Amino acid sequence: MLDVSHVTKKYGKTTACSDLCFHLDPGSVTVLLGPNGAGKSTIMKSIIGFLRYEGEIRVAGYPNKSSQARRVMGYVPEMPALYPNLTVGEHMEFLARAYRLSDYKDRIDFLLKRFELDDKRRKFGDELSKGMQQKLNLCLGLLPDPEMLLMDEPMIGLDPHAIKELKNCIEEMRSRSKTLLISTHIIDSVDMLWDRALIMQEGVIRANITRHELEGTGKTLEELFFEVTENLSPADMSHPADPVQSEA
Amino acid sequence: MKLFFYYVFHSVKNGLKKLLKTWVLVFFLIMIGGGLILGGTIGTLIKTAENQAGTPQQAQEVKPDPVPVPEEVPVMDIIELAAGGIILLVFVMSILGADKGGAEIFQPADVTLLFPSPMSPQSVLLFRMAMQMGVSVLASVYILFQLPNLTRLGLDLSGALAVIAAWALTLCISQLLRMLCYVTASSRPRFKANLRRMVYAVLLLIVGGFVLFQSRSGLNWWEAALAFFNAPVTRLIPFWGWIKGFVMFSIEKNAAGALLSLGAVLVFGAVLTWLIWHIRADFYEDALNKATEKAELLAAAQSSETGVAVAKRKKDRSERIRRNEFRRGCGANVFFFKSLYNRFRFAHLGFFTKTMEFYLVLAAGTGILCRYVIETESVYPVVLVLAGTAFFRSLGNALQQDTRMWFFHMIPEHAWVKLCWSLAGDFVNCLLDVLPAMLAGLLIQGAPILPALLWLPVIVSVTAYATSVGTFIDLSVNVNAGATLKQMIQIVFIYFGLLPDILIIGLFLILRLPLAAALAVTVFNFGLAALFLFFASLVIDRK
Repeated sequence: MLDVSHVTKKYGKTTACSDLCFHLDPGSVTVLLGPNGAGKSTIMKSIIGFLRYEGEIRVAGYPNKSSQARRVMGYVPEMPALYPNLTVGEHMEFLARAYRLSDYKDRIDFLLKRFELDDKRRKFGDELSKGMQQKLNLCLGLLPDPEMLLMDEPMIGLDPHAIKELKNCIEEMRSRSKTLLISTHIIDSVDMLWDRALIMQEGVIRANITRHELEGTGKTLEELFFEVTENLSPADMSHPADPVQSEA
Repeated sequence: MKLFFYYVFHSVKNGLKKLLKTWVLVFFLIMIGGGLILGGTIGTLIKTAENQAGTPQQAQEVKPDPVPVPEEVPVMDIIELAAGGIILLVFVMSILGADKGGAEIFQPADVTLLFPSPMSPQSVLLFRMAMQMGVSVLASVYILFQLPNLTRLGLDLSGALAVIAAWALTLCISQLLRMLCYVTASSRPRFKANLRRMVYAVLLLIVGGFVLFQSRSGLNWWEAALAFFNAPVTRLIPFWGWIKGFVMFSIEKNAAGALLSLGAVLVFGAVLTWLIWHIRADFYEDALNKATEKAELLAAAQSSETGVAVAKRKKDRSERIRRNEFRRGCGANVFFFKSLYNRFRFAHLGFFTKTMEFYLVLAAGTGILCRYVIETESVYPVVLVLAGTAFFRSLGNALQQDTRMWFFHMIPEHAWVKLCWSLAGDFVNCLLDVLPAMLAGLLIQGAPILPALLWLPVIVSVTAYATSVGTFIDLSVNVNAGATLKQMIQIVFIYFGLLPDILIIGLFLILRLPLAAALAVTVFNFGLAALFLFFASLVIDRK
């Protein structure tokens, strides 16, 4: 579904992503993990077509910046941005028109109810709290029901109900053979959801592993993450040394 | 197209709804009510006077034709020359700002909602550009106020309306030219690097051609300018000449010429749109960066509890040139000292700011023009050019940087005092920018300096008034109401606020008391500025 081939992205002299290569199977949920500044958002923005980069990215066989690729891709950005003069309901309607969706009214109702935004339909974009904005952001990303959905830190700012609903959504999308790429630095938030994990650090992929392969090693995703990014063994993690106590 | 109309309809409707929840509704009601009462009273008085003088028919018989026929060629020549100059200036400024201005038209939500959608980048660009054009044209509605002045120049109503339509066309075509340059530059680095040079080369070519023409023709500068820039063949030059032609043919009552010119502008405007649509461009990354900056500023403005938000710098600057240094003064006057401290810190050679340099060039140019071309010793050209420029620079809210400081409301003094100190900083800066330019312009011109200096406080007081109005509007109208809308309201305020200035100046000049005129106007403007700062402080206190 997604082929990322030798992608390098530089901001001036800084290399944000270096020669990244990975492939996502249709109907899989892949989590993109990494500490802050690892290059997760950069590769997400490259895939969605926001950035110029070296290398090649293809979605369902089409170049990622083509309109064919965009028709199968959806995106939930890290930072919600809304039109201040459109209401919640108008945002949904506007996006449905931008994607040329048909019969979308019921889906709008369903999503707004699911994420408890139904009673906020008449609120303007700039009248919503951060959490509400993030919920609307999710609804907007889910509205076109794309074949492949990219989610950049989707859980940040959500209340427990919305997190639960989002996880349910992810499960449902997987069961309907949708492809998902979820970027996060909070491992717990995606622990039960993934089929494949990509761990990034300093612009390169340090680990590319399936759930089945990880289970074979007997490690948890968290243990693998720290092993890869900080060279910590499971023993180090269970008994972290407190420098203050050590000095005492 | 449906998407565009959906967005326009809802965002305009909702924007107005939000705006009308503020004092703007009251303001407009007062304007309409005041206009009706004033107009009705004046109309009744005129009718009564007419009845007393005799029947209206008799009065009409003796009344001369109110619209003078434009027989004097120089007035038309001046209009054509001015129209050509203004159109060229707008085009040049648009193209010069194409590299960054293009990316700035996008809203943060365009990036997250429209960029990932199946819409092509060109569709998104045209969507936003159409919005921008609409806003520009809407923002120029205020020039309808100039209708009486245009008719006074000798134009009939259709001619005056043609001038206004041409202004709207100029804004739209300049927007199209800017976007064409932007999309071309976005994927062609060499074009981007050389765009400014190309514009300067064209300007140099025009000036060079004119100088050559003048020296060979043996005409004086003024006659040569009229012969060179107003030559009939110039009306055939794409866009610039066509728009100018549309205006002039309309004034000259040449309907065929006006329609042909208008048709040419519209057809080639469509061609420009087609070109923008078809040029392969990759501008999402630049637009993303600009939109992120905009989103951060907006978030900062909204995040403060008091509505007095945190000012965020557009660019990350190094420690050496950090902008907001508060190293002098205490209490409310820190804003005053910060303003001056930064001024001298960042000025070239510790004195010449970019604004001052711009004023110097402008005043020197006017001085040269007055001395060698117009051959006048009147101080008014230099004064008027500087006043106009300073006035337009003060549109917006110059005190925003201070009022949006997160600690502005925490300084334990009355908001009015803080605003006054902040305005005082702006006032001194304006004075320091204008004074050397005025002196230089007058010295070059060889005009008397003292009479001109009389008008310096007037210029500064007008900018102080404009700034205080801008501050009040910025603080009291919704953060998201849009800079253009705020500026429109500001212009209406300033226009009506400055009407008494004209009356005062007229009155005292009739009495041959220029010093009293300057003093009275200065005091009046500062009084108004203080009043609006007081209103602004009430808004801050209420929040």
